[in-house]
Amino acid sequence: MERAIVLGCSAIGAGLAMIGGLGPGIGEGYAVGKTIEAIARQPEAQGDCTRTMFIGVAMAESTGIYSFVVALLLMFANPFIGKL
Amino acid sequence: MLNARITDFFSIDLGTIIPTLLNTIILFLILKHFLFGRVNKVLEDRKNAVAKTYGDADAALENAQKLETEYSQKLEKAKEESAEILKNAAKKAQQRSDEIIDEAKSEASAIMAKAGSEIEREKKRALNQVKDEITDIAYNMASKVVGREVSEADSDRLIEEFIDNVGK
Amino acid sequence: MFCAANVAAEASSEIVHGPKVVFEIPLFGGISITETTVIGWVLIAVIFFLCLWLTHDLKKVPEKKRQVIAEMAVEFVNNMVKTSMGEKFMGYAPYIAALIVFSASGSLVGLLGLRSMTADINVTATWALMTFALITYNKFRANGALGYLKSFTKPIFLLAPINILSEVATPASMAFRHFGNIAGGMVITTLLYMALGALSNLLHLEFVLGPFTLDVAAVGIPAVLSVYFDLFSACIQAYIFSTLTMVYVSSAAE
Repeated sequence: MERAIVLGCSAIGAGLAMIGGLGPGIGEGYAVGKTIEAIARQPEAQGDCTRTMFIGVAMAESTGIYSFVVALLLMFANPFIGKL
Repeated sequence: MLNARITDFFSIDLGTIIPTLLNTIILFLILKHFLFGRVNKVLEDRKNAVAKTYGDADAALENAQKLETEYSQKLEKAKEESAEILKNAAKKAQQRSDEIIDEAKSEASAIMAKAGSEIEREKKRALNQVKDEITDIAYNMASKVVGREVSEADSDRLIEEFIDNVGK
Repeated sequence: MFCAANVAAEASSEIVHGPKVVFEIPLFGGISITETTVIGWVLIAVIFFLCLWLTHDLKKVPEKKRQVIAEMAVEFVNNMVKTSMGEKFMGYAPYIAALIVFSASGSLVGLLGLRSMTADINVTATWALMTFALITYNKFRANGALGYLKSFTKPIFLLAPINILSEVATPASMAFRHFGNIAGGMVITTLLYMALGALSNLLHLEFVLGPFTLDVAAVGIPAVLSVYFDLFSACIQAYIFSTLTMVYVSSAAE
């Protein structure tokens, strides 16, 4: 019973953790939009803009990745079951 | 391998951390000695060689420019010298010709003067000769006319007087 | 560690698991050498021989393509270090190159069907700790021990716990970013393979050839995700990790 509760709560927690994916999604979309604006204004700087955007996007993604890691932990390496 | 133990998805164990640390350090050393050391050395060599080539070319160019200016200076000097020489020669020739002309002139004038004095002397001599002859003639005539011997002194005085009067 | 009584938990830990233990060294109560370490050794050997081959006989005027490749690689890293850190940090170039090469190749072995080296938190944590050590060393050298300690009490001493937290957060975020990207990609790919296997099982498109199972649905579709999660993510995470290392270290020396 306890195990079932812990597992269920862990699953819910994993799902909740993935809400953290919202932030990077918005942020990355904003970054890409701004990059496209910049490229439209200065097409010759496309290479630089794209490179910088990829780095920035990968950085912004890290918060989402953290929540994803938490979700993965709750699903595949649940630390709470061991406490039972 | 089949019944190998599987570690957890998320577990920290020093058995992996320490080998990874050593691996990374070993890889760093490998890259440092076998890639970066060698390639950087070659790049440095090439940079030095290029710099040396450029330096040599610059030096050669500079040298050539120096030589050119030197030669042009020398040429200029030679021209000046030749002009000087020509000028000097012309001057000398002018001087010489002037001298020659002067000499000729003075010689000519000397000759003229000499000739003049000779003429004068000849004239005087001729005059004296004429005088003497006239004196003789006069003396003879007078002696014939007078018929007597006029004293020497008297005759001379008379003749002189006569001639002077005739000459006038 | 887990009592693994729960079937679901057991099943899930079969799907997604850490690296296998290849062998154990019977020292200090048994050091387990995992797949990660062995792949690292293999990669180091490969890189070592690649370096030897690339720099076999270097000429002042490059004659062979491999010398051009070696020079391009070295110049790429040198330029990166020069623009991010400045001339006086050129000694870090081989370390940055080691990070890039190890990280990228360690992630890219996932393409060969091996377990990605960087999908192990121990590896990224090690690198993050190395970066942290370099940051701390540079801070010590630039400010002295007292100045280093004093830098935590800025702007006021009340903020010291937050400063210490942010100091620790730097390597933690670096480690988790790298690990999360690669491991997340691995998990998603694994789950996708499972889902596609189930799909082909459902559509009776599963052919069993001895020990191998061919899932028709699993042909082609995972390649699209693999391009992102294995190729793109692997390269860009290696680049980001090394760039962050350079930025942190050079700003620590100020």
